[in-house]
Amino acid sequence: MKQQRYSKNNLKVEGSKNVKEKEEITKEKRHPKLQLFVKVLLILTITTCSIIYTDREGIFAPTLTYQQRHVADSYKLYAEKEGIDLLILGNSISGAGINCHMLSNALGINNFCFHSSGSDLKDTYFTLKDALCYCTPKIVVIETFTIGDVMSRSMPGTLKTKNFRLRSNIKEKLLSMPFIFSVEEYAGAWSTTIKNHDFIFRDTLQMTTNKLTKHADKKPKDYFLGDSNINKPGITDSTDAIYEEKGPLIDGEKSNLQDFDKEYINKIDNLCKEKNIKLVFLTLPFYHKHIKNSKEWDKKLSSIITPTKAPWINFQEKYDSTHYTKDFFENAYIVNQHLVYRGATYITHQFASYIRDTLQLDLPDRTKEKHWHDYMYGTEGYFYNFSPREKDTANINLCDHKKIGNLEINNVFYSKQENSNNVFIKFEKGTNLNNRFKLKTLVKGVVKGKEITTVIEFQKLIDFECINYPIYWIGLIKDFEPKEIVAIEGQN
Amino acid sequence: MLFNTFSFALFLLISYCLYVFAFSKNLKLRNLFLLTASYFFYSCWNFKLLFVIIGVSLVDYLMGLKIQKENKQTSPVEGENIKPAKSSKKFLLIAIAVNMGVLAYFKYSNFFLESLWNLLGLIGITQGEYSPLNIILPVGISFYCFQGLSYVIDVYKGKIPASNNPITFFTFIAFFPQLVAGPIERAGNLLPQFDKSFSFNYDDARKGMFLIGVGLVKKMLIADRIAVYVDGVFGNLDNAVGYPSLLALILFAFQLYLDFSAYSQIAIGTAKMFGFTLSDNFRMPYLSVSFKDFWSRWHITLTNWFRDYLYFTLGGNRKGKYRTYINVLIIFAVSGLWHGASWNFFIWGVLNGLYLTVFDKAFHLEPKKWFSKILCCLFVFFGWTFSLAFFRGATFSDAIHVLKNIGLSSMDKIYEFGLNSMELKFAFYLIAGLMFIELILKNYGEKISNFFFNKFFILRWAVYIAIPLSLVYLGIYGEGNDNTFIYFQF
Repeated sequence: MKQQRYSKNNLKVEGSKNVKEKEEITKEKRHPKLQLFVKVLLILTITTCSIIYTDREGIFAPTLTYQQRHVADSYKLYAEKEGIDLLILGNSISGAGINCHMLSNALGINNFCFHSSGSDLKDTYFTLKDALCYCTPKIVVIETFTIGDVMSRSMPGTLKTKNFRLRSNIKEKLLSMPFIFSVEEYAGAWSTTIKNHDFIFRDTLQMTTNKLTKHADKKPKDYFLGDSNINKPGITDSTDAIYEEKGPLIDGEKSNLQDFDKEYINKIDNLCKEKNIKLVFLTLPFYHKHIKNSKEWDKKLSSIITPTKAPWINFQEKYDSTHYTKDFFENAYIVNQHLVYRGATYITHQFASYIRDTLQLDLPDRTKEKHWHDYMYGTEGYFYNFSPREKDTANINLCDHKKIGNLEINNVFYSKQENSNNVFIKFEKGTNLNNRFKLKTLVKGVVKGKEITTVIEFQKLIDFECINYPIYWIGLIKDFEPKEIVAIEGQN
Repeated sequence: MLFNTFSFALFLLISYCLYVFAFSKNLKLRNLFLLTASYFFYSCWNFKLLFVIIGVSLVDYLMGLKIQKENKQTSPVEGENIKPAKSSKKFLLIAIAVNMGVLAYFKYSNFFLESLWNLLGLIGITQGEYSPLNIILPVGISFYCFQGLSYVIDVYKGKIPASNNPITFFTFIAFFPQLVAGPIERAGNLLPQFDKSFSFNYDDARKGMFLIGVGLVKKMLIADRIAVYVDGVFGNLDNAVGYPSLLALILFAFQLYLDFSAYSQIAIGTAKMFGFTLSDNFRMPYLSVSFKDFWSRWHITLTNWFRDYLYFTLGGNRKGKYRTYINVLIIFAVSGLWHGASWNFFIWGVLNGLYLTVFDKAFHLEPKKWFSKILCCLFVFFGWTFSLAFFRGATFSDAIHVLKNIGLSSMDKIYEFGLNSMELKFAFYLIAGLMFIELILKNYGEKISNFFFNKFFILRWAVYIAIPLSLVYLGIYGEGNDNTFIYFQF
């Protein structure tokens, strides 16, 4: 019967429309499972493509993602091209607290601060695993603010997703997912569209900004070493008054380790041992009024750090009230207090000194490589350790290896700034100058074509004193071009 | 594992593929697979509470067999209608005691004890606040206990034969699409479907998936969006004076409907994919023109359950007008308590019972003309919405608070409860669109459905593609959103 109905004669009678329908039905009955599979796959593909498109366009990406993405991309570039000797891992505390260029220049090595806001220890471990896919540093430094619940954090979803996206190695990322996310969070971890789709209603401004700025195209072009120092003055009197009134924000007695801290510190330790990497723990300081019972907290930290036998430099414990002034710390009454530029500079050099003098590791001396000087030249701290090049017109060397009286000068140079000329006198390594040592100099220079000689008092850059060269500094008016240090007189 | 989660999508994908390609040919194996999948699905909430459902299933299964055995002894003739035997009553009572006992312990212990505590407090025997017992409420307990109970009662009444196959019966109780929030299936409808072999049907699979998609759109685009506003208002009643409270209450009426009907649609759709037909739970209730009409369209399987197993047992409408009124009130009071162990739900139930007795039974609210139909439709909707103050309010005073707030006029803070103007307008457009579609479907449902699924290729595919895209871009999901289905708590 069925065959009859589909005969040519019947086709004419029933009309072409009906025939089409029936043919469709017959078709569908042939491979129903395959048809369904293909159709579902097609719908899913269209959906996925649309998600990939909006992800790539960065329409739903929060601003923070790009700042952090820049860190990750720069790490990959730097690690693959140059190799990294010292890798610092942590959150924003370490990003603000260490000046990587200064550290590199002080030690003559390559270092990178792979920090990401809000990272806890679990996150740090996976970041380390990912980072090791691109190079194997000699030293890995773990900043200890990643440990514990000081921020009362079990890391919020936004942060752990953001940190996850920073990592580049697909295999490591896939393997880490079950440890970081619930199944529900998997898709959002990979896609900003899924994670932040509610921007459509709740953050249209961000979407517009994303469309206009096209952050997604930004790629690192130079050697950015990951740090994010805060170039602001320190704590003001009014903020200090708040500390006096309200008291410390962190109580070491009440703060506790997170349940996974011990497990992940062991994992980090094992990973470092496996790769023959020296593991170091670093505690950056908070303002002394910011934390109470810090010894109690140190005991808790010690209970998991000590078994690893890894060295631990604790700047909070070694709180140096003469140096750690209010100028060191961020002017805000918030739990995650950061160091500002001044504090970071000092701590960086203290840390450099610790690496060089206390750890005494066999680190590569990259100062012998011309290539290293090429990309480090002129970066922060470079001239505190090395002389300007002859062809440099902005940083001009006045003299090298000169003996004035009983003082041995390594070099004198000045750096042309917008409103002033900064002059630096760098004494030879090991020159014993204490902090009370006042330096009076007779400087010969030129002002608007006229040669003059004048007496200038230099200040010591005490933030660098711990490493390499004692340096004295003065900012002169722009019109005065120094030519020679004629005489030096020191007063203790 | 909620229906609107990635875990469920994964679970469904894997289990459906296994079902279709590996387990569909052998009936026993298929049912065993469905049982395993259902228990896995349930244990994702709490593994320990799986033993409660297994225990309840076991008792119902054994009592069913015992009852049938006793009944057969009194009506031994093959083909003759089996009548309940006196000797089988004790087994029925055991089943009722176990099902209701489990329900009472897990769901009502704290409610009864707190009520008793407060009562004794009035005469000075107890003092201070009642400290509740630490009892975890198993998800879906009210649903599976009622389903099990209906099976035993039907066996007792001789309506259905007892199931001889424990795997089939246990799967009937735990069948994952309808395990946690219904529809409450009758054994007469669902049990025989486990004895039919499965052959893949393209149309069933397609329609099942479509129902799941539509359910997800209702839940994730509208219900969960509205929920943000409703939660915002009910969590901040002191500030929600005037229109925000009124708006929240109206929105809650839609949230409740969309949330639960979405769940039911997903359940029905999922079951359809697996070759099972579940009962409808909703039939456009907000287009009802009387309260009787409303209750024949709202949570149909529960209403029918109460009608068949409680209302008729109490005598229904056969014992006079006033007794009928009382029976209706009893049914609704019990239905209120079924929803939740609190006096608020009791009041909500009684209020709806009163609507039915006063407006329908006493005043015979049955409009004939279209204009009076619209008025009645609005009257029913607002009467229902008013009662929902007690359903949604965490306490009696919260419910009164929100009703008092409605009496005050203030437009100031309308956008201060979690939804900005754009989102609120979007929710309104979606609700209006949905109601329009329901109105059309009410009149031309069959024709439209045929046209949609068989002819209009472009529109069909546009809808197929629009569903996942709208879920991804406009749905409410992810961190910070509580996307639980409202009826899961019952």
